[in-house]
Amino acid sequence: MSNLVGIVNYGTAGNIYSVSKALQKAGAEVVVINTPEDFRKVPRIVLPGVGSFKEGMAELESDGFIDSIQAFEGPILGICLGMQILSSLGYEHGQTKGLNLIKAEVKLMQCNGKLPHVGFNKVDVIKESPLFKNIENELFYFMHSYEVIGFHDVLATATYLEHMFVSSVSKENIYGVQFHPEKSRKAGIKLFENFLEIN
Amino acid sequence: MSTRIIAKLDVKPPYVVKPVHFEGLRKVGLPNEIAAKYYQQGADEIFYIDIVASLYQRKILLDQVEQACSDIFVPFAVGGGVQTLHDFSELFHHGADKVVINTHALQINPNIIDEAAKCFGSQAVVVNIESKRWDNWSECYSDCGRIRSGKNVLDWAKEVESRGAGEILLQSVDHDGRQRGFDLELAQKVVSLVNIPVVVASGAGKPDDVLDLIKIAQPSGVAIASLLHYDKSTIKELKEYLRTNGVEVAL
Amino acid sequence: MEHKNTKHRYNLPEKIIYCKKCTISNQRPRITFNSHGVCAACQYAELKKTEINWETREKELLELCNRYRKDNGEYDVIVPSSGGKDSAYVAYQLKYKYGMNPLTVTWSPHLWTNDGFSNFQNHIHVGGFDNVLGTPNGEVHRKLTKISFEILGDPFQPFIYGQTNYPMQMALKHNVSLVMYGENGEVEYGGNMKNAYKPNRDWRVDHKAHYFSGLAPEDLLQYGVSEKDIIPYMAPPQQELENLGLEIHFFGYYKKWIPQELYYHAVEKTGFSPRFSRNEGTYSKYASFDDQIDGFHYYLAYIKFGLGRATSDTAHEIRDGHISREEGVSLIKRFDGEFPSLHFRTFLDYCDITEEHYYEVIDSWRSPHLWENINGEWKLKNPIWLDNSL
Repeated sequence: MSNLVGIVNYGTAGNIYSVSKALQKAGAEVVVINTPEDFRKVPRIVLPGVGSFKEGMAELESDGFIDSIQAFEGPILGICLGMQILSSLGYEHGQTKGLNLIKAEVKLMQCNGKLPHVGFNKVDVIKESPLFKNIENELFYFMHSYEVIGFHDVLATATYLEHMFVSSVSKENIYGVQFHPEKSRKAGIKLFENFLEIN
Repeated sequence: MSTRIIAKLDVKPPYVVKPVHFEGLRKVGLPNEIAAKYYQQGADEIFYIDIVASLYQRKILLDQVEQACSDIFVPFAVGGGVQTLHDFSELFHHGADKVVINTHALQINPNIIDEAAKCFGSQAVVVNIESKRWDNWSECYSDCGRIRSGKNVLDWAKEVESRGAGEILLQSVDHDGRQRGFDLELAQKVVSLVNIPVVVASGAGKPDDVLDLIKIAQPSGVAIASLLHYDKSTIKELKEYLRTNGVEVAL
Repeated sequence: MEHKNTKHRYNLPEKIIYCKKCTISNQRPRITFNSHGVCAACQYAELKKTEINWETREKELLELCNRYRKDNGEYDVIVPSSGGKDSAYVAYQLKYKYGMNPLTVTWSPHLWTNDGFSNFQNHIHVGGFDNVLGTPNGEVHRKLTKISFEILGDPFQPFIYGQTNYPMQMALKHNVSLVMYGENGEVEYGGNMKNAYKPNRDWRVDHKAHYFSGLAPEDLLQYGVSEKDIIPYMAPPQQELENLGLEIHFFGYYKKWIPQELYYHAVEKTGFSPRFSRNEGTYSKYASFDDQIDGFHYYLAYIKFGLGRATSDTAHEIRDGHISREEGVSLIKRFDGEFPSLHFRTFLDYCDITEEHYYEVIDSWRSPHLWENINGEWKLKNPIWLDNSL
């Protein structure tokens, strides 16, 4: 398979530039997805993540991307908000329906500490997966106040102030990471390299 | 949770500069070289602030931002002259992972904080507070530490939190560039007052200054500039020193 | 109130032309421009960068110091000092680098500001200098301030007399023949360039023209001030100064003068702190804020010449390479001519005048070639941000 990756551009939200640069560093050829037709040009897609659940879903809807993503057959990697919107329901600023690709809900993190959870934290991988090949015990950068709550498809967890939460999910062709690989130094680049190798 | 060690770049494009008490434009080097250097040394994040954008009443120079952050694979927080949601969005499209705001929110339109948090998520909105001490209170300043606001730092910190800011960058006009330690008292007050992460800056002259700050105020992150620019320590050395002294850092 | 003909008085050209490189205009008295439209100060700045051999200049300084150094505990150089960054730098270098024994001499501001007094104290206690502070009779000083405001439009004359003459008096009293000022303002900022290649100025000749705007202390006698009153303001008798062998030098001749660098130096070495916020009328906070009536001096210059504090600050910062001309124009547009309201009440009380009278005097200095009144508001006819000549 080629090294082509499509990054879904959903308007105001999304740190597309950072994600592009990191993917390129990992050896990818990056295509920005601006229209539903663009999905057909790429064998795999990345859903970036800066924004709020509500706004993110609203943008995806107005861009006409929801069907394209749900129907996409190649590997999908959701990052941070991108992972959260894979869920069924989000509770940020009221209730919003997600992409419903993972059975989970997104709620405010339940912990006794400062939110958002910001900084480098250790990720505990609990299943074998090509996504975390050779990077099972690394530090990754987190920046979020909401967490994915669900017991299905959990690939990795992490702990913030004694509160354990889901830090990565995987189900068939769908992968999600709560952290930002594009901001996690070599480990993050390696994760992208691993993603590129998934068929 | 590790305490973040953050390299702060005060930028007057096209140079990184190092003011003292938020005055003076002594050149340190080029942004992309300096940022790369600190990234290699192990910085957890880079803060890039165009310190004159608001003062000169212009927008931040996006191409300069893009150039500075290339090949940096840790978070890049960018600020300077930010006023509108469009400014936030443009910055995210040019390399910013978080956007830092002060002058416009403080002096003209605090609502921009609420709007930006709703639109981009709290975690992407950092409010920069330039504090200056009076006898029994600290005041928020704008325009690179030279225009008063009349607002109390503690009140403003609480207010920005309630408006949805995800992080505070707490600077001190009195300590900036002096390399004589941080405003520990104010740092401790602000950190314990709000429930969002606080990054404390201004004053590190030696690794012990950073250690003292962390032990006393427990900030989420420490931003350093002079310590690095004048080669008093590298980030790696600093992190090792902190780790030896019982502080959790990302090594 | 008699309207003053500033064009005539200061020999100002009718058409306002701005320097192509910096932000100063041809309205600054005594400034000259070359055929490329570049002002003398910018030309001099270029020389500072490219032609002047600073090593040679330092050698001259070493020779000078060797000639005047006493090494017997007596003072060997007078450094006129406000407690600001410039004099702090000069005194520090002379003492700690060149082995001299300076006495810093301060002619008191009219009314100290908190920040100014604190810096003044720190230069003594942190910088480590002996200092003499001369404060003239407050009542007389106020009278003179009021008179000079009425007659010259500038309340600062009494300060300027003392700043120039008091160090000479102290030089005589302490038997010190060398007085070392900071920079030669005329040379650095675009005035009479005749001393550009000399380290000193001829104290016999220059006073009236450069420093008193044509009004020497003696001229005040006609305004109800006694001879005894003005003694502290006078230069000592010429013969006594000749006998002393007085020489007045500029440190800026020997060392490349970059005000912002002096600021850094002062913070690090002599306990200097910038002002609590930017100066009124400009964006900077590191220069000239020890006197509560500072603002009124700068404001007058703005009225007379259309050149306010932001203009002077940006002009030298452009020459020193800190900011671009475009940035300078932005700053001038934002801050130049801002009214110094913080100490306005104080100033009115100090001079014992009403607000109405203040504006009467100010307006009498507005030349029609610079100003026009549009719907009751005074506006500059050709401000730099509207100037299209570049």
